Formats: sequence, structure tokens, C-alpha cells
Amino acid sequence: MLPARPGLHRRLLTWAWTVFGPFAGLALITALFAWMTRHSGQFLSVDNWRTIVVHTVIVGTAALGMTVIIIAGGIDLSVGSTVALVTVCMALFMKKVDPLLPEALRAWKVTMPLAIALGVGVGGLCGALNGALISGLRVVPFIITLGTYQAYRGLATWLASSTTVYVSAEMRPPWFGRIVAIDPEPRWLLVAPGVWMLLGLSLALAIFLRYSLPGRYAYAIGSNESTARLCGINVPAMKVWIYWLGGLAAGLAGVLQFAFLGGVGAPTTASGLELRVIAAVVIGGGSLSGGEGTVLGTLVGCLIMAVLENGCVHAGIPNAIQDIVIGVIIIIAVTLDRLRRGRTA
Amino acid sequence: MVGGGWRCVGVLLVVGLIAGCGGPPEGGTAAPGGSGPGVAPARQGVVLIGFDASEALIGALGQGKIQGLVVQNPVLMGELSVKAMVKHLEKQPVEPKISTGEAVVTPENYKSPEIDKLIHPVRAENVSGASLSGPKTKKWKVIVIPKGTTHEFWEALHAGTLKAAAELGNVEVIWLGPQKEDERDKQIELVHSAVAAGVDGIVLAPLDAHALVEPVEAAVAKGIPVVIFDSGLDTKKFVSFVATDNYHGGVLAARRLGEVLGGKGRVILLRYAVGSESTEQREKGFTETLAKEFPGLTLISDTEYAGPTFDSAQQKSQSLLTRYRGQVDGIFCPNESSTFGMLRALEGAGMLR
Amino acid sequence: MTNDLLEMTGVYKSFGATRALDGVSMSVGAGEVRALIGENGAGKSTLMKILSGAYRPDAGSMMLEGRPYSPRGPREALAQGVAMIYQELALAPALSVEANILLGQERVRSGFLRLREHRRIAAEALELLEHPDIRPDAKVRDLGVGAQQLVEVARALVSRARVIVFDEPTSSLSERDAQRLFAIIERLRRRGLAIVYISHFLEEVRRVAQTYTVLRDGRSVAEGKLAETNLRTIIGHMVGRDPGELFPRVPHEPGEPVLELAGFRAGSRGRPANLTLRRGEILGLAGLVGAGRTRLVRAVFGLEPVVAGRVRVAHIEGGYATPRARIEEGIGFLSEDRKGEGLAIGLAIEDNMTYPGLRRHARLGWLRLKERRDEVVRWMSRLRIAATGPLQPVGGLSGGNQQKVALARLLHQQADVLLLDEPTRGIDVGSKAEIYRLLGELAARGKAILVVSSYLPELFGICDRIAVMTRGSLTEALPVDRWTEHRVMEVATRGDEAD
Repeated sequence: MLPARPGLHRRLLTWAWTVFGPFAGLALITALFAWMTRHSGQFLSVDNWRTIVVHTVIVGTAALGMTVIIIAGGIDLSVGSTVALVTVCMALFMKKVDPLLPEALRAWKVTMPLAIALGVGVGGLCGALNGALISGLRVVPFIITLGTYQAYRGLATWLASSTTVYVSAEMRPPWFGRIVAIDPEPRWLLVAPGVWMLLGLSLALAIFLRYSLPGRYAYAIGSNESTARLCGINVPAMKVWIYWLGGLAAGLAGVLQFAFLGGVGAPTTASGLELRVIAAVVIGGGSLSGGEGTVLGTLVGCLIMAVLENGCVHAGIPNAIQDIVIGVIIIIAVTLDRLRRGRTA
Repeated sequence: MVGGGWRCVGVLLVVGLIAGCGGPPEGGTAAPGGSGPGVAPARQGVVLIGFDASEALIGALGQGKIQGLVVQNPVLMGELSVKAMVKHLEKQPVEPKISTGEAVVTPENYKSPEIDKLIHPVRAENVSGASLSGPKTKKWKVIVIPKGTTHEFWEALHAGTLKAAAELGNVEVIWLGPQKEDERDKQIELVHSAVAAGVDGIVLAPLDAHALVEPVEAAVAKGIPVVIFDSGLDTKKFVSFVATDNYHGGVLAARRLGEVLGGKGRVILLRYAVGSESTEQREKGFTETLAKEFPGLTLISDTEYAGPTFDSAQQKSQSLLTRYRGQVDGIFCPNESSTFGMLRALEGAGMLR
Repeated sequence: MTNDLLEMTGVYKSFGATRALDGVSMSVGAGEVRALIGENGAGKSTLMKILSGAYRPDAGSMMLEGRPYSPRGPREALAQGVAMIYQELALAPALSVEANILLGQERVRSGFLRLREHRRIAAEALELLEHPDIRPDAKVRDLGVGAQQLVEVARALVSRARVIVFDEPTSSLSERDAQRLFAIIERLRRRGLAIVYISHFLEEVRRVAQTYTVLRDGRSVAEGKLAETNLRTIIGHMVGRDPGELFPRVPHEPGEPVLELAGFRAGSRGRPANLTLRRGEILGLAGLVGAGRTRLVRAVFGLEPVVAGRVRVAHIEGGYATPRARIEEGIGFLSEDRKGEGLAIGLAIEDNMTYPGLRRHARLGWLRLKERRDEVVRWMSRLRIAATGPLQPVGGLSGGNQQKVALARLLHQQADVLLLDEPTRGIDVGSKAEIYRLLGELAARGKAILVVSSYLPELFGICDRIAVMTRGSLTEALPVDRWTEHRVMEVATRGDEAD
């Protein structure tokens, strides 16, 4: 049976709703907080939005990786632990390993770039291990990453001998701290370099998901793994690769967290980050049953979370109520998104 | 067939990761003083020395379950912090370090009037009167950021800040903090938000002596003065540091423990959390005094951390007690949550006098 | 008829602008099995939902045992004596047989389940169905599909249903289980129950039912006694025109061999298989469900391990190869499980159609979406796939169109050898004819086609040669005129040995 073709204006409307729908929630929440804090007007100030976008960067970077994983029908609960492990590894490297390097190498000021590379590498390794375990043992991702969630956190605590590892200020070049500084330097950047980096990576990932073979394969695996196998896709290898990608993103988020904390390698940091990351992807339209999710949606999801947290602080809502509000918003956002899809499908 | 190959890769990766990590860094664990049959059994009950007063802890003290509590003066700390900030805002000179005093409460002295004032401070309910973006009603708008909002210590401190606000009359105090006392990133975000909202001053109890340096320096660079209280910060850019002499608090705890045990016995230090300047000072004061003044007291465990919450403290205490049951005479815990967790664990294990 | 148990007159139902039912009248009496026949989309499932109370009719009347019948939900329908046995079984797989039989009708005394009573009732019902071999305490998921269906029938019996509606009950059953079910239906009929039997397997309908009603476009267009009519007439009513040729034949000429199996084993049962598939021929694999046909073709394609033997594709010989490698060798595979494996239901037509051949549209790993879309649109118009466009998710298509997308995938990947497992399962007669014509055309263009099917008329209608599989052993492939349907069934059910 041929379904009736919708009229042109109706199709335009659904198209607009699909593209701008996610922003509607963001606009609504922004308007709500702007109204609640209308006396000072500080909530809508440029400075405050610079703050909000910086607070989006860490969750957002990790969420990019999580988007791909969720599109491929997986989940990664170990993101927060990976971030903690990365900060500890970077701090230990700068404190313990770096002094052992030859003087000639250090004269080139390679310490921080090396630490960053190490951080991203450790993240990638964690992700690849997740993927290898999931493919190799054929256990669902939820269980495997629940295990590595504990294991990576434990590894971080063990490496750091249960304390926080501090890196002296001299070892941190000024540009490193500026990555996630609220006031960008130079000024013409308008927002922190980390925000631009996140935008750049997002654009790259969006193009990748749409125009590359592995990108399309991720959707196939998430939508129906059997079909993917049937179509000649090497599913186990793809999974390792996808979790590796997610791990790289988590590693980068760890590097940013390291910068955000001012060179502190803390094994307890970023606890609960994984749930915020998953919430951001889900608010942005990702489906935990796989096959759905967009980079734009994820970014908006992260922004919604950051605006909520910042807005609650500005409006003087107590901590306990904040948590309730955020929980309720997550449920509403996802329900609305399902309704929206129900209409366009 | 395909799966088999991947299984191998998975196993190899695990083995590789474990092998590649190397051994753990050397810990400072003092070996437990033997647990063989030759060791004399511990005497009846364990002596517990804690830090900070809450209703539950004072109650336990009254029943003789706790032999001593080192108390600070949170109300005074809150009051002096806000007053120091306002003084600075009104261009008057402020002392760079303000001490708020500490004392030992024992089952013998806890009913005396001056101690009673310390252990039953006025408390503020955890409700927020003013908001960051609300209309400015007073001359100065100051945000006070504690380490957490759930311990009674912070409620008393909150009362102190409100007392100062009432006395001064020209300052509006906003009270906002992270929930758990290890949410470094939350606290940094709060400082950011306060700066963005354009407050006149920030009064901060840093969760981490290093991680909060950069946000504080950025705030100062924007012309917003910062007063640090309770716990130190690794910078010189703040107006004043208002705190208990924590090191001295640890010294007092060690002396009280030595006194009750008669200078002989085996002792456990349950540390609080990594990176917390104030409790690390207390722990340092405690261990150094033990080593210097009480050669008869041996420290059998000082590597365990209670963690940020009551339940983490209680779990850690229970594990410690099953490990050292019958071998421990005295315990020191450096803050409210660790003391409470240890108390509950001791009660559960029936190890109190 | 006066002794009608259930009677529907002039039932209407519309959803928005679509008329799903446009005046349906049907009745069934005690001791009668009435077949409800119609193509997909004719309104069978809507009618069924109205009977079960899931939908309310817009107009028309329903009478049950002479009293007005208008249930507000499946529970109420069951309470009034109308039970449904759905195509997709509605059982709780982790529960025991007896728990399933009494699900929703538990006997309770002062808050406690009377488990001994349950055991007795369940055993009685199974006895009644002459299947005391099913243990009441067995877990339902451990039973075969046929036995699971019996559990559903037992549930209907326990509820004292007077009318039982079967919806395509044999679509997932093996021939043997189907036979068993027919015997049970006959028994139920003798006990004076009224049975509505929905199906589009016409041969099967003839075996169980006495009367029929044909639905087309939401109307009941014909009814009568099956003994007084023939298949062609019924098909004529179903499609609403002269069916012409159900199996259109396009002339094609077999050429050189492209796929050869030698000593090939996919499972542990039976003798090693030898088979040669030629260019330009259609080879049919007949047999009972579970005979190992699906396993054989899946192993050839690399979806199951190869136990022993060689596969020779276009003169390259080897053992097991991955699906990726087989696709590159020019083999295409169509899965019997369209929704579970064959298609990614949530993804667009263009994605589903192009995954195996996606590399063709890639330059250095980057896709040329325009090029891909143009090709997809071309295939859609060639295969007459009815959809809003290449971006429509396949989940929204009818079964026939979904199957065309799955077939188009093999054409898009430029496969020379097509392994088709039940290519026309669950699709309507019109679409079937189109697919048969397409297969003929493909053979005429030199493709080699292997069709696994449990529907014998289809194999006889389109194949050049037929081989029969029985318990893992494959007979020689003989030209179709050397077989009769009777002979195929004989070989397929013999089981022990096949020459």
C-alpha cells in the first residue's frame, strides 16, 4: 500500500521540527531561567554563557564518543572511571616519569604534549579493552563496562596510592590551563579554545557518521546486528574500533578534566560522569536500543544539562531540588522526543 | 570460529594491561604488630577520639562511647569569614590569617557552659534565602561556598555567616555548595558561576588545596576578592585565611588519646580523604605528636581513608575493625563523618567499653 | 443459518481516512471450521482485533450465542467465550506450561494459588488435546514451536471458550506440527466449538476448514463451502481479477556451473551434500522445516560454521569463508527471518538496500551519497517498491515491499549466485507473483538461483530442478518434471535414508 504523500507545507513543518526540535527544549529552559532570574539579568550575560559552554566541554567531549557507541547499540559505563584514570596517569607521568627523560627532550617543552598524548592513548586503550572484551567474551556491553567501571577506578586509585597526585604549576605551560578557561586568551576567540575544539570534533564526527563506511556501519550494527553480519560487516572488529573511538573521546575528556582541575590527578574525580554523558546523548535523541542518535542532538543535550545546572545555581534552587529538577527534565525531554519521532516516523 | 580469535585478543589484552602496569608505589603502611598467639589481648573496649561535634557524637560522648572530641568553632568561623570579607570590601585592613580556636571535649567537661556553647551552636536550616541572580537588596552581595552541605558542621557555619550578616546589616549572604565533599569540579563550577553572576566577594572553603587555585586566581584577576576558610589553598592571592589551627587540633587529639590510654597501646588513624588540607593537617599533628610525645603508642594502621560520606566511612571502619579486632586500643578520626562511621562500626562490632 | 454461534453483520471500521473494514459479514456455527481468507491488507487482522475487543467497530452488529457481543478488551472477550491464538505466540517463555495455561485465570483460595489444582487443570487440558506428553512443569521456552502452540490452545480450552480464532497458526510450524494441529482442530470441532481459521495458505485451508469467507479491501466478497469450489476461483476472489498466471514463467537457459558443494556438511546429521548450481537456473531445495536446508545455505554463505567439505565458487575452491568474502565472490543471501535478521527495520530503504555493496559508492572510505541514492531510486522503480521514498524506514513497508528491498540488496551488491531462504514467506499473493517473475528474469540474465521453500506449489511453479533435504541429507537434484508433490513429501518425511 502506498502511504498518502503529505502536503508540501506539512513536510516542511516536519523537517523543521526534526532539525530544530532539539533546540526547542533548550530555548524553553533558557527562557524559564531567564524569567526566574530576571532581576539581575546576569543569567543571560555573555560572561555566564561563556561559563556554561566551558562547563559543557568535558561532558560534551566524552558524549561524542558515547554517541557513536550508543548508535552502535552499545553503552559505556566506564567513562567516568576512564577520565579519572587519565588524570592520574597524566599527573604521574609529569611528576614521576618526566624527570627521567633526557634533558635535551625536556628543553623542547614536550612534557605537556607528551602527557596529553599519553592521556588520550590511555583512554583509547581503556576503550579498546572494553570493545575487545565485549566482542571476545560475547557478554553484553552493560556488564563488561560495569566491570571496567570498577576496575579502571580501582586502577586509578592504586596507581595514585589512594591519594591525589599534584603537579607543580611550573610544569604546566600557561596555554594548557587556558584550554578550558572561562575568559579566552586571545580575546578574539570569544569562547574558550576547548569549546572550539569540541565544535570542530563534533563537525568532524557528524561528517564521519554520514559520509564514511564505518559511520554507516555503526548505524547498521546498532539497528540490527544480525543484519550487519549478513551484509558482510565484520561486527566484532567494528565493535572494538567503536569502543576504541569512545575511549579516545573519554581520554580527551580526561585531558580536559586535568586542565579544568588545574593539574590534579584525582582518582575520585568524575564519579557519575558516565550517567551525565549517557543522559546528554539520550536527551539529544539517542536510543539505548541502538541505531539512533545524532551529534547535533548530543551537543544540545549537553547544553541542556549545563544550562540546567547553571540556571539552578543562579536561581538559588537548593542542591536537592536541583537533582529532582534535572531528573524530571531528563524524563520529559526523552518522552517528548519519542512523541516527536512517533509523529514523523 | 571468528569469535574464538577475538576471545584470544581479549584475554591477551587483559593480561597485557595487568603485566604492564608495574607494581604499586611504596605505601607508608606500618606493619601490624604481629597477630600471633604471643600478643597480649587488648583490654576491654576501644578508645575513640573524634573531631567535630554533632548531636549524635555528643550523645555518644555523654554515654562514654567516645573518650574525646576535638571541636572547632564553626559559628565563629562563619562569622569571622564574612566579617573579614566585608571589612576588606570597605577598604579596611584585614589580618592575613585568623584563627578561630579549638578545644577538647571529654565526658567530664562537656556540661560546662563554655564547652556547651561550642558543641551546641546555633544552626541554620539548609535553605537558600538569597540567589545569585536575585535583586540586590543590600550594599554587598557575598557568596559563601562550603565544602559540602550535608554535615552539621557546615550548618553551624552557615548560622555564623547569617549572624554576621544580621550584625553588619549591609551584606547579603548566598550559601551554595556541592553536596558531596569530593566534587572538585562542582566547586570549581560554582566559583565560575559566582564570578559570572558578578558577586562582590567569594568566601570559599576549598575542597582541594590545588584544584581551586586557578578559579580563585581568575576571580581575583577580575576584581572579586576571595576569603578562604576552614581549609588552606595553595596561593597567596586571597584576602584572609580564617580557620581552626588544624595542626594544633591533631596535637590535642593525640594528647587526649595518650592520656586515656596511659601512654601505652596500639592505635589506628582512619584518615578522611585525599587532598583535604584541613584534615591532613589534623592527621599530621596527630601522628607527629604520637611519635614525639608518646613512645608507648604504636600506630598500627594509618593508610585507610574514610571517604566523603557516612556510609563510605562506616564501610571502611567495619573492614578495618574486622582486620584489627582484638589488636587495637585507640582510634582517631579526623572529622565528623569519619568519627560517626567509626562509632557506628564500633557499636556494631561490640568493641566499645 | 440458525445455529450460528458467532455472527457478524455489516461491520465497519475506519482509521482516519482509511477504511479498514467496509461492511464485513461472517458467521460461524458450532462444529464448524470457517476459513477467513484474504491477501495481506485485506482487513483480516482488523477483523481479528475487533473480535478480541482491541478495537470497537464503527458500525454493524456482532452476536454471540444470540446475545449482543461487544467486548472491551481481550480479557472480556475470553470471559464471554472467544479465544484468540495469535501468529506471534503470546506466552511467557520463562514460565512453566501450567503457569502459562492458567495465566490470567489462576485459581486462588484466600490469597494463595492452588498449585495442585493448577497442575490438575493443565494436565486435563493437555489430555483433552491428546498430548499428555507435554509436562506441565516444563518451561515453555524449552518446548518446540508446535508444542508452544498447543499450550495456547490448552489455555483457550481452560477458559471454556466457545469460539477459537486461529491467526495464521502454521506460519512457523513444521509440516509435522501442522498435521498435529489440524488433528486437534478437528477434535475441537467435533466437541462443538466454532473455529475461525485465518490463513492464506489455500492448500492448508482445504485440509482443515469446511466453509470459507474471502475478504478483499475490507469487504467480505465471497463465501461458501470449500467442497463446492476450487482454488482458482478463490484466488480470483482474493485478487479481485483473473489471477492469470500465479507462476509467470520467463524462459531461461542453464549454463556453466558457478557454485559446487562437494562432501559439504554444515551440521552433524545426515550424509555430506553434493550439489551443483548453474548459471541461469533456478534450483529448489524442498524439505520439512528443521531438515537442515537453512543451515546448509547459511553455512555456504558463512553465517554458520562448515563442518566438512569444499565449496567451489566460480572455479575458486575453499572451505569456510566469511560473509564478507562470500559477498566479494558474488554470492547473495536472503534470510528467512526478514525482521529479525534480513532487514534493519529502523533504518531507511537506501541503507538496507546498499550495505553489502556500500564500498562501491566509497572513494577512500568516503561515501558518495548522491550516487548511491540515484541507484537506490532506480532499483525501487524497477522492482516497483511502493514507498514514500528511499529515506522511508523499512519497518513502515508491507511484507511484500520489505522482501523486495531485501532482494534489491542482492541485486545492488551485484551478486551472481542468489541463495534465497523462503523468499515469499508471509507476503501476499500479488507480491509473490511479482517476485516469481523477477526471479525468472534474473535467471534469464544468467544469475544462478537457489530457493529454499516449504511451499511446494511455488517450487514446482518456478524451479528447473528440485533437491529434497531430509534430516540433514540431500538427495540428488532432479529436473522438476521427474518429481511430483506427492513424491517430494514422501522423500521429505521418510527420514531414515534417501537414495
